[in-house]
Amino acid sequence: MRSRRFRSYLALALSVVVLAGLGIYVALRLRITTDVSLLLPAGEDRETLSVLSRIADSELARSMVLTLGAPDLDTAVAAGRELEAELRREPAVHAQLASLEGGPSTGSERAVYELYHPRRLAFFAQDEAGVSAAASDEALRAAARRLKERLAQPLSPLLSQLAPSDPTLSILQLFERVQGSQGAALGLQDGRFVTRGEPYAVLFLRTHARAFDSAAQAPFLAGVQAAFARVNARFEGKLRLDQSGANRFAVRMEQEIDRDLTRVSSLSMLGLGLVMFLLFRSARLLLVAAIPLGAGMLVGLSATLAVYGSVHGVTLAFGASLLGVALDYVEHLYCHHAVAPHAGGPAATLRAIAPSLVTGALTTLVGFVALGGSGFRGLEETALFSSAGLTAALVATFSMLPALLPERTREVPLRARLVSRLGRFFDALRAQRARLWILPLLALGVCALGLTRAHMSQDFLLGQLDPQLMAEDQRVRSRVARFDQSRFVIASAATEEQALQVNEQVAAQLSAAVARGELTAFQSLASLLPSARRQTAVTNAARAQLGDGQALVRAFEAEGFRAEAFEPFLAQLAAPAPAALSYAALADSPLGGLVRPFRITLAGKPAFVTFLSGVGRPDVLARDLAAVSGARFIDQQAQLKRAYLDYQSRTLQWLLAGTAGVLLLLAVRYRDLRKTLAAFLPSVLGALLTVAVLSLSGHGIDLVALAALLMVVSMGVDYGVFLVDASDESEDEPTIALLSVFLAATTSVLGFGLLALSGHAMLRVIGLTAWIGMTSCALLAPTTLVLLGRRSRRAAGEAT
Amino acid sequence: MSVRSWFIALGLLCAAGAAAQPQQPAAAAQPDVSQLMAAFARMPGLEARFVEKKRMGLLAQPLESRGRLFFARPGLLLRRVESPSRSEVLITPKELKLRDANGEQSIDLRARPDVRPFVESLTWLLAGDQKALASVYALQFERSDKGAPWQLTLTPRAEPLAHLIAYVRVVGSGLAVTEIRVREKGGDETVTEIVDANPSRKFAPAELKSLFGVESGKP
Repeated sequence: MRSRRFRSYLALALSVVVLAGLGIYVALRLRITTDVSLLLPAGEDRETLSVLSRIADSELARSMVLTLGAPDLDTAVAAGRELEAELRREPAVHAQLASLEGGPSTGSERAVYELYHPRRLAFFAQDEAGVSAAASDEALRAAARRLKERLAQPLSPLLSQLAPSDPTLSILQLFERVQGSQGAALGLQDGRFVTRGEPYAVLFLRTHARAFDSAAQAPFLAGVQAAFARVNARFEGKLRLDQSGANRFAVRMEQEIDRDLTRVSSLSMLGLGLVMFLLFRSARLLLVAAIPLGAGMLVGLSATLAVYGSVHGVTLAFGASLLGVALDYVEHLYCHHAVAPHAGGPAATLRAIAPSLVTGALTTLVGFVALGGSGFRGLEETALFSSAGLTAALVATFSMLPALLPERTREVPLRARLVSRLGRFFDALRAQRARLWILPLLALGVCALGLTRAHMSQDFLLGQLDPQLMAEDQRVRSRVARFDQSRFVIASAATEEQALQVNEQVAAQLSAAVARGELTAFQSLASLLPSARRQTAVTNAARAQLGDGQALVRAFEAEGFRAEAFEPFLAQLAAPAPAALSYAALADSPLGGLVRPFRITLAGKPAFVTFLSGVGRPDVLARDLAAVSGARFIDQQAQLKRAYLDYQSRTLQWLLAGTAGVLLLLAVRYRDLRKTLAAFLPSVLGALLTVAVLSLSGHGIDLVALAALLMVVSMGVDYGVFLVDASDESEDEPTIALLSVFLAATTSVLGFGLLALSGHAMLRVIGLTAWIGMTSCALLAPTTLVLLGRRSRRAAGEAT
Repeated sequence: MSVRSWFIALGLLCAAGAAAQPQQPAAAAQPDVSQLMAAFARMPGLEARFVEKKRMGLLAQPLESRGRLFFARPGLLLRRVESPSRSEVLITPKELKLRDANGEQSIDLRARPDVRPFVESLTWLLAGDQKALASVYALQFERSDKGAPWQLTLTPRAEPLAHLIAYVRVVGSGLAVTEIRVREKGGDETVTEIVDANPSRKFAPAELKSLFGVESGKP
């Protein structure tokens, strides 16, 4: 006796030491993320999706656009100016502000002159091949005629200053081309960005922090709101602020998850505590029940942090729900220890029910492992968390609980009455065995009806994005941008110069696509910033073609110009070429706001983005661009959807495989068809019933619902196992197991029911699916046991 | 790009100056600048012919163009060049449009805070708003006994205009403008001669539509 107690305390002490160590590890390493990109699929096209994931990390995702509506444009401009000043003053915003622009930088024109004019030979033509055409006698005469026509116009004073050093007006034409290709999405008033047609001022922001760094973004967004509230108060509440930015989705998601987790966990704990206290009247038992759960959470967190470096909020919520199954094992132990305690104490009781607990845990683990096999990053993380957690919870149940449980529990009249009623209920089921077939037949009927309406959901975002925020985001984007937000081209390479070279090739392909009518327009940095190689090549080609410049002078002279007027251009031809224009020089100039949106960093490598408009044939464009090494056509929605569907089908396969694994495990455990089916069928029928009910209520089955179904099968089978094992030991009185199932079902239904009321879509789907599934399993388990079990002696006697 | 627009505005200023040919009183009347502005303010509309000569360091020969000017209140001006090649510049309080054989180019004046004051200075001149005009230019009014009895010289007060334009000189006799001379800092000069002016021109709705692209006098 003493040695048994000693072993129990030793196991408890060792467990406490291990858990304390893990507790310190978790406290030091814990990082919770709400990065929506981790919950996006990563199917066969992993490389593309990895690019998408990196884009989510890049400057593109860190950008925000604010539109400030007012009764009229003058008011909008004034309010926009004040909002910019308030944002700069607001400490929470200022700390995170990488850039803020409400209008073009002052000095842009001077910057154009200073940066481009000295390098005008590098822009003599779009590429080296175009130089010979531009330098031909015919082209030079045409340029002279053009210049003369423009000199006759009112803008002649500008041209008369520029033309002596740039007779072909290369730089002026470059900016006219760029302006033409950019279109007119935004207007300007009094030096501020405004929308066309509607009275909105526009501000562009970028943060230092990642869009999905909610800890940094939440105060930043609160600061934006605070700044707006002050400005709006000054304008008598007549302003409307609409915002667009990935950070808003991340923060909203975290707030929803936080709110849901707090509500679900606190109410679940309250409900669970109440039920257990009513049945066992022991605060000690209540506290001890939390230990396996706590151990499971610690080990789950440790494993996830060790492998992934952070834990996603959804993993925490989903994983914690999954770990709730560990409570079923504790409740099963409590029920046996309270109703039919073993003479050897709680440790002996635990040993007696160990096969049931281990079988239940193994079937559940099969399901959890299958979740991870789907390859979906979000589910992989959840699978790791819950598998490690469940294993730890089971080990903690065996290693810690025996030493902490009392030798005997208090008699509770309510529990006794419940056991008695459950016994009578089970007898009634047996007595009505013939009629009982109606229940599974009814369930099958509902399944047949529902399954005909079942359909897979196509929503690859899994409903995670708040519809209100989405609508606001769309409103802002439609006001300020005419380029497609989800289709663009990325040109990346090891160095910036190489990336610019790739960007040029992309621009050439896209120009050809525009000419073929496959694309309406594109916006690229290639014209404003050719690679250094191209700038040098064009400069050299221009010098070679123009020679000493006398041919150009003669051509202009023939059109009525004075030869001596072009001395500055001839001097430029003879002078050494300046260093090529670089991205850094442009970004550091007042033109920075114009060029920065095109430059991002992907996995530490420089990359340039080209924005597209009117992509007619995405497949053709993707094929054309595939020929350019380092270029990648990104069609976010199509690629995510394709990967999602691929994922969905893989998860369905894993659901079937997991279900087969559970069946195999039960078959090995029981080696008896009736028992195997009695344990197995309730969970499968429960899962099918869930699909049917969801379908009949208009819900599509998405990836998360499939994962939750796997959970229903693997966790729901525990009810069957408990009942089959109990009826095996005492065929006529499996009432203790019924009490366990009743208790487990009550707590599960409560927990999942609360989860089904979540504000966060993914948690809501998990909750709803599991709630329907586990309720069905709990109702079908005793029914199936009666139908598939041998007729009891008592029932047989009564029948006689 | 706005540098180019400054010059568009300046060119228009010249054109507008040419348009400013109010009612012809007795030749003996010698107004001061206030009377001149008051007379401009009373002008309902204007149609005139012009001859413009540009002498530029770039060109061996001066560029000469001829055409018509149309002005309607509150601030609509059309400068139509008829020879040597056809082109038009239309200015409204909102935008500036250039049309020639190469196509049409439009500049949103509301988007050009740098250009707008210069373009508005034209409106100030036509409206006789001396105070507003004086905010951009230093005004010097001189009388002469020879040929043209007076001249109003506008000298830009600040950059960027002052960097490009030395002065704009409006020459007239009595209350009639006969010549606008724009002298650039680089030495180039544009002289616009105003002839056959009708300072009482009123535009029918159809004319407003066809000339200025507006339904009424309010653009």
